[in-house]
Amino acid sequence: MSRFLQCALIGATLAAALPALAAPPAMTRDEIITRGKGVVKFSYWWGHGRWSTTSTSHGSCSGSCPSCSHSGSYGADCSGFVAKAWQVPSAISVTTDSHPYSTFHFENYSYHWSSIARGSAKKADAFVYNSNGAGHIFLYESGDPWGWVTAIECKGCSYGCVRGSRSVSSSYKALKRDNIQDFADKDGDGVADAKDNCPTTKNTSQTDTDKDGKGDACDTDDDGDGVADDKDNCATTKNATQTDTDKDKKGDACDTDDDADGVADTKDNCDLVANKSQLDTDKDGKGDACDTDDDADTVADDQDNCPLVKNTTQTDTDKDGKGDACETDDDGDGIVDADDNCKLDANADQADTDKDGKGDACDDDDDGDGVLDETDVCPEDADPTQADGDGDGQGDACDDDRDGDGVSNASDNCPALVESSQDDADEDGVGDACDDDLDGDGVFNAVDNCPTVANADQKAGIGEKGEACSSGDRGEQGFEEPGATESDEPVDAGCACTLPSPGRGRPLAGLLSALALFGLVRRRSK
Amino acid sequence: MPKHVGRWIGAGAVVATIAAIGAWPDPGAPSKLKKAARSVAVPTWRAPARHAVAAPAAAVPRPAPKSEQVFHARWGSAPGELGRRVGNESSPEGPASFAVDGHGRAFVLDQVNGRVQVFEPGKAPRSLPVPSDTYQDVALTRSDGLVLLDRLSKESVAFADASGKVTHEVPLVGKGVAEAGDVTGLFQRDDGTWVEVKHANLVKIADADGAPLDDRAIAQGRFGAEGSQLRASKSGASSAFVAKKTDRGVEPLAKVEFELPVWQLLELETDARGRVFLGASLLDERAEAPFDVLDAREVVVVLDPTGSELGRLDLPASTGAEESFRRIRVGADGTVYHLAWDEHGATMRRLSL
Repeated sequence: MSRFLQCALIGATLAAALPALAAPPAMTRDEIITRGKGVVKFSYWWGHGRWSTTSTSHGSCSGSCPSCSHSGSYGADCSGFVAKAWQVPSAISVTTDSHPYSTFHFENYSYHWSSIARGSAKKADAFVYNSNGAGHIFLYESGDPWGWVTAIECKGCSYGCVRGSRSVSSSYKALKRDNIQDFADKDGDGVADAKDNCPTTKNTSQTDTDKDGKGDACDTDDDGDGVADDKDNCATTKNATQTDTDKDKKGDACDTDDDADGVADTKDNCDLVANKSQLDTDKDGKGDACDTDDDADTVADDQDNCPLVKNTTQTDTDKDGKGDACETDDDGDGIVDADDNCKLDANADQADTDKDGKGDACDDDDDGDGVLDETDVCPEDADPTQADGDGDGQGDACDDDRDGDGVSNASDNCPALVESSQDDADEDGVGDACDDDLDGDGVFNAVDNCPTVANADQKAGIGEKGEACSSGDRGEQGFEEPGATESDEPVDAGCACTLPSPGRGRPLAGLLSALALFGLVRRRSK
Repeated sequence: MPKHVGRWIGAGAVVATIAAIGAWPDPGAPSKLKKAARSVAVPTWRAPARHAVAAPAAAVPRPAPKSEQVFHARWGSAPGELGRRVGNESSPEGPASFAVDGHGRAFVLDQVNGRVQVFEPGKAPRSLPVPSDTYQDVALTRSDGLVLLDRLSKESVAFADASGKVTHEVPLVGKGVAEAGDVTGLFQRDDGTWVEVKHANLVKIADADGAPLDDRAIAQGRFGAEGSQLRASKSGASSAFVAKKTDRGVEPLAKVEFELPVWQLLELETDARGRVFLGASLLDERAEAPFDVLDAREVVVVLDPTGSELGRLDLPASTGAEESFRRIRVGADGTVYHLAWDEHGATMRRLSL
């Protein structure tokens, strides 16, 4: 079997036996080179990869490899060295012998590496060639002005593992290891140590709340407020005072609901006073719970007799400490304002004489007669005329004795006429002094031929007298005429008034009619 | 490219060169360096009469080089053969270096076979056995002795007589050489043995007799004509800078453009006439994975002492992954010696414009 076929088969077998291709551990280029430099001066050991950072027993090689001889515990060939320096396929101690790949694998596969342009090789990249069963690989450390390479390599049996400048034939191709970090990163968080604000603590985000250059992950006071994070009720929000209104151990500075009323501070109209209802009477954006003037009437709530009702004047009619604006019974008369016909005047009886909806207590014209009470002779009895027959200041409409004769109207058979005698010949309730039909025969005195003797038939008697009162005729009423006279003068009906003569024609008739009408009206009014 | 853009790119490259090659601190007079840096004025260094113009390679005359084979050696260990180690999980090697003396003899460091093989025109190759297969560079003393660089194993320079017998060794690490692996060249001069560190400073580790030096002189580049020191560096994708340091200070000598991206510089030497030879490995690869090689070439650009390009020598590229330390040499007369190999063996050619 040809050497080439041998190697191909070995390579294929190794390839089949290789573990699943998990990414190798992240390494910086410096880490790889530092690890790789550890091999320098160790012997070349074909098929192996092992050295020590502490031992000086470098081993030795003699002969012509692969048939060479090796002595000692340490040494590596070129591919064993690179695989160990690169920590591929996985992390492994340099002291653990391993040889996972040959130059055949490095040249022909991309397990944990990939080809790159030759000119773009950087520290910790590698150059490899493999052809016809022969191959070599070395680590690139740096270049020089001629393009030569400072290489770390297990060069061969005679040389051992060395570090030195060398030329590179165009037969070599360049490789770059996967998962290589182009910067030192002690904590492996993907941020170069030179820029890592917590170089030994993983913090990919690099969050540095207080921008003090020390990342939060390693900063004991993230917000730089002088309060250590383990005691800070807002570890990432500056709050030196540590105010915690609702005592929920979350400082107000970072608490979204400082008063724990269930309303977020951003929406809370009193963020430091619990007010679940969010009542804001005056809609000024400041809740009543924390508003010193809930109704925005310029009167502070603690002095406002209606703290929730705008009442700049602070009127308190009943002086009960509750302003009228919010008082349901301003006048304190026991009648709620809504029903009170005098809201501001105590009137428990709600008297409203004229039924105009305004109680008498506050009505300037209780009887609604158009005359103000203060001048109304009968403030509670409608009388636009303001009649006061007896001139006593008490109008007739409300005067119990409107004629002032000492006899109450109810008893006075002539309430409008001063007549203390109260004579009532015909006993019809209308006193003689004001009876237009003295004898009650249905015929007005003015036209009765026997005004004092009932003679409904008005039978003529002597002269203008009726029969009933002529010469001693008695009327059916039984009256004894005091002696009829043929005087044209009307008979005094017993009142102080003088009736007009019947012969006075129409004007007199009209007056009588009016009087009669008046008397009729008065009777009806009783 | 607009002129002004090119000017700024050029300016940036000048600054990058000086910075990348260590700003050339003069151990004796740091202030001189600052002065030198200031003297590198962006506009002036591109003055065409004085400095090499960054002309595309195609515009430079490419006279057909004179080329002749010096020898061809098959792979093997027999006399006249050269050893090649095919790396089996190790670094493949071919002849690491060679030197050419004034007689045209090529001393090839056949370290795989533990010897230096001398290829002399008209004579059979002869072997000078050396005690190690880890030497990587060889230089010749005036007495035909060998100076061998073992920077990775013994970390020393071995001095051998003409038979190859090592007489003594001088450690590399010391003043000017912090790590032996950083040594990138061995130079034997009349005044002593120098080693180059990272293609920058040269450190004198031994005197003319091969005695180790504690107080090591440091030169800030490879020795050029008239006591100057030269440094070269890659610049951008497809160009390289050569800068010169003289008593007057540091100044750019040439910016060399190539038709392909520069992969690595291979050599920087000066002949007796002060001509500068810059060897480069060019590589064009596909822009996406697997980044196949599309073209690979090697070339030597020849500059006159002022930096103007005299011509280019296309070299046969070596195939294979074998590492070499030095495969281009320039004789005092400007002849370029090139050692290349393929599957069949190694061939040395000499070329000249």
